[in-house]
Amino acid sequence: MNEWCALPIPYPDELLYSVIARYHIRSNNTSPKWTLREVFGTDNVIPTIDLPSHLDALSRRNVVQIMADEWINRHTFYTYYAPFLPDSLAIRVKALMRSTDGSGIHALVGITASTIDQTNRLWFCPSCYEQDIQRYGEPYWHRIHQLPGVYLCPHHRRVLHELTSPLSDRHGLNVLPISRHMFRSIAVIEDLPNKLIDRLSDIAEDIHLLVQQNKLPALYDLRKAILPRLTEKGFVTVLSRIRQQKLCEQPVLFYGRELLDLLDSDPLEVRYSWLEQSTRTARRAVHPLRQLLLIRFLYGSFREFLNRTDVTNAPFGNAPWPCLNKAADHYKNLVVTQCDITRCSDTGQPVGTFVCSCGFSYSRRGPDRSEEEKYYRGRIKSFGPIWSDKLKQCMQEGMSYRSTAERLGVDTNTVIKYANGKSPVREVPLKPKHAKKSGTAPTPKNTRKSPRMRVDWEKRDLELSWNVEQVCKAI
Amino acid sequence: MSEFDVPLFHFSRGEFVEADYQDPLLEDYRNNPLLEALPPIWDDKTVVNELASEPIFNASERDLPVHLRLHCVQRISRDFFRPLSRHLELQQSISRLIRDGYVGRNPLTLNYAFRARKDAYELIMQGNTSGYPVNTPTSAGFALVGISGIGKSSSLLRILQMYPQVILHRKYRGQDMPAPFQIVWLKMDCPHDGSIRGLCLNFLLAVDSLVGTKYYKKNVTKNPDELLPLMAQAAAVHCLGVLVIDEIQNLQEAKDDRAAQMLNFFVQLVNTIGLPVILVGTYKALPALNGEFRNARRNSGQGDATWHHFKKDEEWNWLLQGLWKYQWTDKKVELDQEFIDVMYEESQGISDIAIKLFMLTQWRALDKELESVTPGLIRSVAKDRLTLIRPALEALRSGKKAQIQKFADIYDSVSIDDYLDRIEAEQRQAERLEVIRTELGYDVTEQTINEVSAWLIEAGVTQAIASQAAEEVTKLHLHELDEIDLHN
Repeated sequence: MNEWCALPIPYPDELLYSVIARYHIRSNNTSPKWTLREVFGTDNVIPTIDLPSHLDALSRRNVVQIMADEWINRHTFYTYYAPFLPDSLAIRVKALMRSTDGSGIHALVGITASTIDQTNRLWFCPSCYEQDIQRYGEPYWHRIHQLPGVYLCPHHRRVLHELTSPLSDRHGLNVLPISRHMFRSIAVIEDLPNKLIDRLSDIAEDIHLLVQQNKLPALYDLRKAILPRLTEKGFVTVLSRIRQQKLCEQPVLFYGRELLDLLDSDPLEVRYSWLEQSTRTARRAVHPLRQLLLIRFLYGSFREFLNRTDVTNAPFGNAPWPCLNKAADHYKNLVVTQCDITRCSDTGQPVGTFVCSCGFSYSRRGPDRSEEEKYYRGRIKSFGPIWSDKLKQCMQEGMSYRSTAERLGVDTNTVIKYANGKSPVREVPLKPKHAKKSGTAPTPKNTRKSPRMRVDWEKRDLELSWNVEQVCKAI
Repeated sequence: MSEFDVPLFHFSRGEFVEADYQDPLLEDYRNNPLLEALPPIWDDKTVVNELASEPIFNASERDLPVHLRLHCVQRISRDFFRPLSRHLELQQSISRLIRDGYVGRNPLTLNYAFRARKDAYELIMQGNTSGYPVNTPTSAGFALVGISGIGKSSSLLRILQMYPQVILHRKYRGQDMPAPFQIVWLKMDCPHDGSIRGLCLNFLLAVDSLVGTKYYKKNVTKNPDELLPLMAQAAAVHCLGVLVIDEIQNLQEAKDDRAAQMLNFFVQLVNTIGLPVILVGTYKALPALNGEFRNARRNSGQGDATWHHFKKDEEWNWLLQGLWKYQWTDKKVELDQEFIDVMYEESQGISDIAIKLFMLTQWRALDKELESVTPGLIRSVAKDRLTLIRPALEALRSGKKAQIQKFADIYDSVSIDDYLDRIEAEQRQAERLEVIRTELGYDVTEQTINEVSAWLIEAGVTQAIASQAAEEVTKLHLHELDEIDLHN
């Protein structure tokens, strides 16, 4: 056979398997073994659809110069699986794909052990089929149509079809024929209600966006990334634990069991649901499809999720930040999700105003240069009800001004001021406790009024009930 | 023992180059890498200079010993070629044929991707391509028919070799090329025991040889019906510009009632993939080439390409004039009407025979230590050495069709002597002859006068005096031009 091959130029989002199949039909090889030998340098290779190997050899033998990395990133499933693997593992998988021994790839990625159906099958969108012939002169297998979880074409919102005949075995190469009369196919699912079509189309769009990322997002330890949103949606306890039962139930209600069954992702069917795995400290990889289901449930779409984490200019890091209200039970816990960034008119440096749901808000001049600076407090913008109540309590207990100030983390004069009936709502600039030493502290021209705070009534009830209990004991 | 189990067709070798894209100047040729990588379209002047070939000659060689001069004469056979008007016409036909064929085969278009596929062939053959973004190829191809020895094959090969044979494309304007190899031309000669199947397999063998594929090895057991789609696809994938099949009369199918099958084969090549095909053969192939291929030929817009033997006309004189320079006998004789007459009489206007006769006569003169060639010597040599073809030449001399028809190789019944066509052809011929004269220095006397005159003017002599002086000197010393080559 040839010592080289002239692989066709790949089309947009074309599967490498498809390029090889087109080469097979273009070179008029009778036996697929000839093609494999020409393309890979050996016929001791199974033409894999998802994560092929021998890609360095293929790249070397191909007259048209396309690097192995380009084949891997644009024409295989690598960008589907890699973001959800540990970095070291993703690198190792790519190395195996380039090498001549790909026998361990499926096990490494977790495909072998996965409960999501991974049988080799070739799907296409009937509208893409017609469009590709008019646009490129011939049809081809799209990568997006083969990825697990994709039942509808993200471009045409149309149910995919599966090639049923002619079909060769796993050693063969299946070409998408040039004419509809030359093959037979069936729709992969039928009689879908519109709601399900919308959902499946949305999921296909998420997957499409995922595999097109030039820079792979790091999504192995998804818990870190989604914790703020989980907190926001009420799936996190005051002690920063996940409400697992609630988390199991809500996505099921959101998606419907029919859809989750179709996607082999019903979390209620197994003892250890994938949702628990997704929201715990990462110990094993979770299938990309399931991670995307969770992301869409929490953020509305994968795109929204990416937009959240794509903050390139984050002078104070990313949410969450610690609450520095010493009167609160969650003092120094990472519960603050809102940070308004402005610019100091004197120094031009960013100023972050952090607002906690307990009503306590503080500001700090940035940018932060280390993780420890997260716990620096500049000015206190507002104290919130919990702090005020704690102050009253200390006064009633007869504590001294100094002791109370130490207890609440403020200056003695502040205690004196507020203990004498000052309204806690009024905002007064105070001397910063941990202000950095500088020649002259900048004089603020305007004190920006913080937005009206939404009170967490559940937390307030909890605090008040404690107060009531204390008073009862006293009585 | 040969590793191939079919008779081998000889195929000619050419140049392999990297693509260098140039503006083709014509709008319909632009943005097509196959056309932009071709050499520019040549004018007649350039073609004449490219095609002409002269043996090494130095008048002083006449002083060499006889045994060395015998070798000098051999150079004529190897290196002598004088372009004639028919060559210029042929070059233009080929130029248009190749380019016209490439217009619809741009590898950057959908058409290429479609036609490169094996399963597309079925649609093409059934005529079911209306729903696909492919163009209908313009039929292109012609037959070149003439007597053996008239110079068809050598002329064709010289013209083809003005083009690179294979062009390697890597990137076209920064874009990867789907077709890395462009085979501009492929010329195959049919052996005496050739067949259509042999032709198909040898075609694959030739493509393998040119671009490093292994079509032959994979398909050696197939029959012509299976091989034709494969040929079509290989020609499409590798952008074959023109396929020349020489000595077509040698195909077995051309010799009997399977001629229709053979013709259908070539028509399919032309029609299915728009591959220009040139069939070259002697008059023996003419009956087979009538009918379908003739229609295909006419549809292409190419003219009748039957080459007859020369008439005793200006062009014949021109050919002999060029040949006559190369004499290594003791004394050079000038070409006069007697020589013209006897050469034509003995060769009947077949250029190959005339050249061989000229060489044979010189060899005999040298061998016999005769001072020069003479008309009588030419007749004597022709009588002795051209015995085998004498009956055929006698038939030509008689001019009787019944007589000529007995010798199939010189049968010319298809010659249509349309008056208007002849007048137009003669005019074209005269114009081309003028170009040839200008470029190759037909009028040595006038050219020499002009050159000497230019020297004198450059030295300060006035033009009138310079012209007159140059003319006088040239006339006095014209016979010495062989010793001094003023034009090098």
